[in-house]
Amino acid sequence: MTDSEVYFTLLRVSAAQTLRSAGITAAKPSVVDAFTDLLARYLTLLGTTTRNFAESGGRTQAELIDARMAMEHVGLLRPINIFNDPGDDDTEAVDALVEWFRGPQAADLRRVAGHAEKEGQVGKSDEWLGATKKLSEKRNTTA
Amino acid sequence: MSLWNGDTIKDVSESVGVVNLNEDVAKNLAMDVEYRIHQVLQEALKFMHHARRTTLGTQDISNALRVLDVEPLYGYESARPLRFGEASLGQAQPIFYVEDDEVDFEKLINAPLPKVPRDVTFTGHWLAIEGVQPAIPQNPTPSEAARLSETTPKGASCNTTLSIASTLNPTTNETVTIKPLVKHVLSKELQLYFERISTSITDESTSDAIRNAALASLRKDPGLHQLLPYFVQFISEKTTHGLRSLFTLTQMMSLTHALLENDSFFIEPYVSSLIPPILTCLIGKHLGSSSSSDPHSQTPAHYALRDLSASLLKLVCKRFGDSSHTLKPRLTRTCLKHFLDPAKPLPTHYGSIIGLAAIGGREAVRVLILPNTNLYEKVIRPEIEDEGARKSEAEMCLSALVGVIKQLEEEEGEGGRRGEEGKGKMASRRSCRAPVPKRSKRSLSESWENWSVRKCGSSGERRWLKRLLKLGG
Repeated sequence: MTDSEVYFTLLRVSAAQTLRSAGITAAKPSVVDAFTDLLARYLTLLGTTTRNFAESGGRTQAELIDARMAMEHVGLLRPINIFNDPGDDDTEAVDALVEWFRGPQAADLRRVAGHAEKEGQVGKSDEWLGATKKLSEKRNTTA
Repeated sequence: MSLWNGDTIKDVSESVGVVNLNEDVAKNLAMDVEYRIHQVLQEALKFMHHARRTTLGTQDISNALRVLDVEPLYGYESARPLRFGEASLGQAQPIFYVEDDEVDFEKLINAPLPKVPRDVTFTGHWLAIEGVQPAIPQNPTPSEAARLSETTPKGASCNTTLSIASTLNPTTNETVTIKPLVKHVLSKELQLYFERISTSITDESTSDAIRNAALASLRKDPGLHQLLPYFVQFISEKTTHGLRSLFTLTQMMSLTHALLENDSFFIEPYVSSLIPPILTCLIGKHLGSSSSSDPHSQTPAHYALRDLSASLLKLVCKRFGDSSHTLKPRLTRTCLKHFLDPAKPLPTHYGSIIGLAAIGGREAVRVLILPNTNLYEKVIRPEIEDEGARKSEAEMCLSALVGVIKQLEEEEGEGGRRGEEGKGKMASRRSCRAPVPKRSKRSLSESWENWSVRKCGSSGERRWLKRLLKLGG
């Protein structure tokens, strides 16, 4: 159970960053926990839906198409037009998502997270990610 | 009756906005609430049992809600304990609330990240090597070990065996100093075994069959290694105190032999403790009392003991000579020293001669004994010609010399037979380094001829003796 505690604590940091970038400065810890729980369940939902789509396609490894279909299923990609021809190349939803990533909200999120816009600088999250990777490697190799 | 209170329902309805609630309605609602809680708890308990746990957790409740198609409750995943604060309404009825102070996000974001817990691993380490616990971090320190082993008997068991060993020695009144350096716990079985074996071996009145049975048991039985140090100490003690009794010494040598024969013993650390008794029985000055041997027999009994010790020495050198660098040189030096010392009694010389042959075989004889033969002749010649009290002893020494040189000749003769005869002779001639002067050799050969006639009785022996002396020239 200690593993899941660690993951929850790490995810709580991301949740707090998200809330902070939206403008909220303080909250009750139970609220933050509830939000973190929501975030965790949402990510799990995306993952399980992707896996379901992959298995429906007779594959055990998920592909990008599975991820996209899952996002549509969940409602992340809008607008979706279910009456489209399959051959029709309608990328409006994906374009919207990409636009959002390039947009100001995502930029603010990155700023709060300490992720610098310039590629040369290494942000706080990158440093920590590298350190966590090293730690997990050490953990797995010291046997 | 229902556990869920109607008052609680009323409180909840008031918080929602329904002020007037009928009693019956509240009661019915309470029963329904209780039923739902029971349902959720049952499912959660099923999850708990299937996970082989006895503690009901929030994960179980979440899974139960999922199974019952109920909207999940968010925010109970974290392991932070819920702290309940108390507040009184003024009617001496406390109301509990969840303590939940607002926290700043900056603090939350910039807080130090949690430590990644280590994975479950396991390694091996030495608990004890040959009875000694190494001082590595995984082993408890001596103070901790002392605390842990308060229940086991401390030195009592090894004290009893040592005291038993001391009671077996009625002639000497020495007190055996009991110094338990290692806390040694021997089972009663092993203590009994040690006692029985030691008494049966050293007791002259027990029959041969029993003694042989005891030795056979020592030779074959596995699982006796705990008694090994006690046996070794027993041997050295008996040897030092029992020099008068040939029987004791012989028995100790047989005991040593049995210990060496046993496959399950790791006897290498005890070899250095076993060597002194063996050497004592080999080159001791005066083994056994003067009345112990039959005065009419040709060869007194202590020579048999020395032969036995020499063969034991040979066994030890064969097995442990390679693993220990100093064993053979030390033994050789001791034997040689005793051999070359004319002040030592003749039986010591006998012992050292056969000892040297046993330790080093052919090479030792060739290098150490042969060059000293003419010197030695000066020692034994007067004894033999004197017809004195020590004549028999000198004769024994001479026969020992003959015996070892015979051993040399046998091996050299083989080498000569294998190759061409001339080459063999040349090789053996070259190998004899110190040429013995002819005059002394002739005198030696004369006395040796006498002896060979008396001892060997065949002309063939005489011929090869002569040939050998020619080879040495």
